[in-house]
Amino acid sequence: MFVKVFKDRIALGQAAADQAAAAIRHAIAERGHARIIAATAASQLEFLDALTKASGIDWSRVEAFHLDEYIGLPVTHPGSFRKMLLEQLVQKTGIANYHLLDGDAADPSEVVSRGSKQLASSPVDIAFLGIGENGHIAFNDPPADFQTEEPYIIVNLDEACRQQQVGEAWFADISQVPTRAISMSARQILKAREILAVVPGPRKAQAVKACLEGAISPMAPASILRTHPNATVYLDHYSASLLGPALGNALNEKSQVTVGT
Amino acid sequence: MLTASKPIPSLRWWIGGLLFASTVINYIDRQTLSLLAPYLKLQYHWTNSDYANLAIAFRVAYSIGQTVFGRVMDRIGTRRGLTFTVIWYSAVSMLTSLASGFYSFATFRFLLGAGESANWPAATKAVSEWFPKRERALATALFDSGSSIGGAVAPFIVLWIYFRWGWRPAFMLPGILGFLWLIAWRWLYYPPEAHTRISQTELAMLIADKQESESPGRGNPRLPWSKLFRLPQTWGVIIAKAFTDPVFFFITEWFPIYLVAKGIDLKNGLIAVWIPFIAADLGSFFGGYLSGYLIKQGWSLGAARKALIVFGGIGMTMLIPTIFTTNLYLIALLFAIATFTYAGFTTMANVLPSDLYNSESVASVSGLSGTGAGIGTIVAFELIGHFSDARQAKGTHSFDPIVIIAGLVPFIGMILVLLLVRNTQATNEGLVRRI
Repeated sequence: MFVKVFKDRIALGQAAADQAAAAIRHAIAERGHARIIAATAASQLEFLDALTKASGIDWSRVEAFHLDEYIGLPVTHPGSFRKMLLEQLVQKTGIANYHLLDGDAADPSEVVSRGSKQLASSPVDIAFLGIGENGHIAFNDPPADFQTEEPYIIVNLDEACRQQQVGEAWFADISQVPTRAISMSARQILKAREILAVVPGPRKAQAVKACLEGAISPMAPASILRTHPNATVYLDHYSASLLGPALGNALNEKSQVTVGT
Repeated sequence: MLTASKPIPSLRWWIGGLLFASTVINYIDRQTLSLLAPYLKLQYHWTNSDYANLAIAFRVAYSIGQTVFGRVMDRIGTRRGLTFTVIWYSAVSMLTSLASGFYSFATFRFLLGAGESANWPAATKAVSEWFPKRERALATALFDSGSSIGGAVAPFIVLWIYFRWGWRPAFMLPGILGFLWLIAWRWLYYPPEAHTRISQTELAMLIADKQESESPGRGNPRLPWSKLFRLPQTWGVIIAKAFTDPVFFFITEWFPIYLVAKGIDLKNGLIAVWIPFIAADLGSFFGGYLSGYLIKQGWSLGAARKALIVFGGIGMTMLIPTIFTTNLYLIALLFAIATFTYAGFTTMANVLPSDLYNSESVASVSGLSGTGAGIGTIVAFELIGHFSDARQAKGTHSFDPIVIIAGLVPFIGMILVLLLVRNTQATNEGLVRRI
């Protein structure tokens, strides 16, 4: 896994978007289409904004998948990930081939099996992720299930995860945050050819430290990204601020550092 | 051999056009990687230091190849020689589209550098075969300006293909152009005396010119290396190239990466890529013209050369103010001033060996200055890769120290050339000519 540090979230978002755009263009050039997984969260705003402005991407050849969604939250709710995905990516680019997880459906397990079938039908070219304040990827809160091969799973959200959503002002208080969600599994995320984790801001510093410097463990779900040969974690000075001297100094001296298992 | 048919009037200028086209294609070929570098480095997770090593692989092979292919051309002739090397580097360019990572790119870059280096010795030889002395400077300027034109058109072709079909086809096209050129070359190029379509008047003119130039030399002794190295003028000539060429190669090899680091979208920033090349082209014509004009006005040879060197040393400091701006047009303008004045400087650096030394030593000193430029460029690329990596987190300012140094080194070079290249004791002893 590669790690890069940038000056601020704008520079970080632009650099990550440059890499994402290169990967999408390459997939289209090599295979005629690109399959992408998009994350939606406050942390992804600058990145998605820069990506939608990138040159030379034929968005009509892009098929987009959803990383996760709350169960029981209507698409009209400001915290709805479908709403954010539509507004921040789909409508700006005109992607026609997208698959949203209908978290509002009567039978979530039906949404899971349908979504899983579509997602698993062929390989994913690139997955965009955030890392949660509790170290989650998608909605795989600690302890995350690193074993399941199911593409999408239904998970319970932990308190820290739900509190983060209140902190990001999507919900008025924690009682309004759904307790369950549909999430792409960790194993499915790792099947993408390339993974891009966009992780800006001081509130992610603790999770970044645990995932980069601790053991690879379900208790630090994002640590599993270290097992992927083509994953890149984009940090800014704030999210990198708690890293120890070994990694911190290396990141100051080089433009990218490899963190392995 | 061509079947006998109607002579082509002024056939030599058609040959000159072919040499120009070859140089254009040669530069499109080599610029492909630097134009795609901002995208490839993301895809393959190359740092700028990795990219520096790819650029160095090309440069090392190129430096060696220039010497080797000069001899090869003399041995097997321009027609066969250029056929061989154009097939070589066109095929390598096309094979580059199969590359899959750093080592395969490095290998293809090395092979490309080796093949491409043949273009200058070969074209120079072709010019000497086909042009009378009085036209050689112009014919050389013509084919040489193919490098600027190639550098200027490359972004349009390469990026256009990249954004439509990806990077692999972008390496295919220059190779295809090379093979198309080859058809024209095989059809049109023969030495004058073997050419069936040369007019009698043109052939007679060339033969007369050759007989005239084959008058015996003055028979000066060739200076041994030890003596050459003890002359301050030699070091001045080496510095004139070694302190300026790396800066120009920074622009040819690193400019797209630099612009992207400045936050400029390459696709919308093409103006900054082609303008410095055109400015360099105009600058070399301007330098040659102005220096000649000053001599006609009664300036000494040395003063006329040094005027352009001062002009270049000062002009290239215009790179420094680029650190204060991310405005595309201002960056393009400042780099254009730098490349325009650089071209004047380097044109002088190219003629200084023949100004200063007897003909027996000119090639040696030229070779030394070329080697100096090659070593300077390799060192510069290592430093550029290292410093731009270490400063990545500085965003638009990551290249600041590099462009400051790039602006200062030619200025220091200018001062050293002014100090070292002058009439000395050795001039009075006849080891070096008076300038």
